[in-house]
Amino acid sequence: MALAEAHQVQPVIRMEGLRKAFPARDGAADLVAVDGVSLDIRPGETLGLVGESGSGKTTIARMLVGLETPTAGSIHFGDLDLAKLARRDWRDVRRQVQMVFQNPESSLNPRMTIGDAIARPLRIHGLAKRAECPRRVTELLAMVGLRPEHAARFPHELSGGQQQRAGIARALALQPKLAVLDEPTSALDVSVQAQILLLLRRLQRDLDLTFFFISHNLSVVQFLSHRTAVMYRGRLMELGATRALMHRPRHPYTRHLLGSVPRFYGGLPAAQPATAAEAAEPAGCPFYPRCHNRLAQCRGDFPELAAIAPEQHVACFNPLKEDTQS
Amino acid sequence: MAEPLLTVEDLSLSFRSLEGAVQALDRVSFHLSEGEVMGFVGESGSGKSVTSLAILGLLPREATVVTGGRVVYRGRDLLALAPREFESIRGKEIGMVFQSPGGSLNPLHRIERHLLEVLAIHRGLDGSRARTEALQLLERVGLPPWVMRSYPHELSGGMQQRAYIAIALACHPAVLIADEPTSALDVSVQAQILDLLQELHGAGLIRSILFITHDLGVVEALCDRVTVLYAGQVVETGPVADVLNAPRHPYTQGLIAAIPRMTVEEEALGHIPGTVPNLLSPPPGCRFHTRCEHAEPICRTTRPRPTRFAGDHAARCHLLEQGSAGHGLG
Repeated sequence: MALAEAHQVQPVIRMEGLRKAFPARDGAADLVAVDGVSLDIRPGETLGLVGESGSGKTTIARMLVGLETPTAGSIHFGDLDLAKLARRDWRDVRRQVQMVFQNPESSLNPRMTIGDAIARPLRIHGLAKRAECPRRVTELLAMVGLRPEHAARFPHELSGGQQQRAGIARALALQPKLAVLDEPTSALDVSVQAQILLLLRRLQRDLDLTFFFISHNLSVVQFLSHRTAVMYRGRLMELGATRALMHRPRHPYTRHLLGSVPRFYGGLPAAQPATAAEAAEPAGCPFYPRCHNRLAQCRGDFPELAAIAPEQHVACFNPLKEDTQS
Repeated sequence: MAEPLLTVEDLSLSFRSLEGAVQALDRVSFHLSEGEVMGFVGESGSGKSVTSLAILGLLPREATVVTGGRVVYRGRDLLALAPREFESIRGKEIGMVFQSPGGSLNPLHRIERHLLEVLAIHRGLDGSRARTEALQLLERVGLPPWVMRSYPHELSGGMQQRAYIAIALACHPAVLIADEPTSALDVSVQAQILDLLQELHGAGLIRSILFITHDLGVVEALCDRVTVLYAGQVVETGPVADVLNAPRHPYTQGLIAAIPRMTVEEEALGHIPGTVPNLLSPPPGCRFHTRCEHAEPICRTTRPRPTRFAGDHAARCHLLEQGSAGHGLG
């Protein structure tokens, strides 16, 4: 779909000032996993979210599907604020916001056949009568490239790629408004990963789905995402149209990340080695200790995400110039 | 070309299991020369880790059946060594670094103890000489002295891997077998560890590396030559640039086309249909034939011989043997 017109439309999800702090033991400071993240997910797009371990990307995914409760901020979904939603009201939201997990083997019930796993949400949400289930299951299996006989199999009888196809079929059975995909190909071999990526892209185009795609792998995110958000230590650093962001990153952290990607995948030449570390203050930019472009104010302040080009936003007091990328 | 330091010749190996013999390796052959960094690439079940464990004598003896072949290191067949004889080779002559550094370090011992133990056993150093050497090793891998007093869990994944590399370096091994040493690390930490390995190799502290990985991007960054395995068979081997830019085997071609790359236009992503075969009953002939779009009857019955190209580049595929240009392999 055309992205230019997309942002006139009401977002599927609007996160505002989203924060999640996990209490620490022994009176230490709380661990702030997600810190003031504001992000829209537009209908029909794939929004990619990249970050290294500890960046907070999975915590965001878990808050979107109600597996964690935000400490502060809001998650607007239609007229609802998911951050303040009562438990009983989640049921209807879960139908509309589904998740595909990284490890398909542990996210499918080992004692339930694939057919039952896919039919169960249909039954729970009253979307299919018992008699209709086998037909719906067969349709859903076909949609993800599995055969009707796979319905009778147990998860351990399928390969990793087939399990992940089943996980996708289960998530899409409810025709959700948003599918949150948390590292859906990270546990798979390259040749199988490509099958799943192609499947996801085809499904999105055919069914006009909205994906929130989380991965640590930049070239995988690049393949699937219209826009990409980059997180580091709980903060949203940069957000933009994927190709522009990957080829002309404006945040020094994004540049650093792309410089670490092997050249084979289209990574940029390595940035200069980091300067001597001097810790940032808690409210400062988390990348301050390693940043070449840092200013004095970066130590104690973290800027708002601001537009730097059409469809490109950075949270940086001293972003990279467009023409100085090496 | 330098003299091969380590040669694996027609190694065939299977594992006993309740369901039958898992035929993990089928006549695997390759060689590692002095000074060379060789990438050993394959997906799950390709046999890349099994091969490395066979070289190190670390496969479970009661479950492993070597059905043929040899592993020759400096003229000695390692498969013929008694367990005690292996101790003078493993760690000392052939060092190793594994994927999960946290899992390969003893959680109850400080880094200091790991280093001192290796220096005492393999190099007979103790007391202040061993301590000085240990501190120098840490410095070589970019770790500060206080790491000596740290327990593994107190270090980040990248620091654990550096510490593990320091332990491997302690014996000056002639060959380092590195099994997915960066796969559990974040991409920026991975880049640092690859830089470190390159630097240590450049400085002559690690002479030859057998680098086992599923990641062709890492191979391109680090290795001189690459050997590609599929389902326990070597399908292709050659200089990295030749294999990555002009792959000859349909599997290598499919694998490279299936990798999303930021430099390639978004529509272009290939894939290999199907999944890897079950090695309880591997396909006869070329094990890739069940997924190969070019497969012909001969591929289902006969294992292809290597076809050689310029620059020590070879691939095992019947279509190449016939020299047939009409199959899009070339």
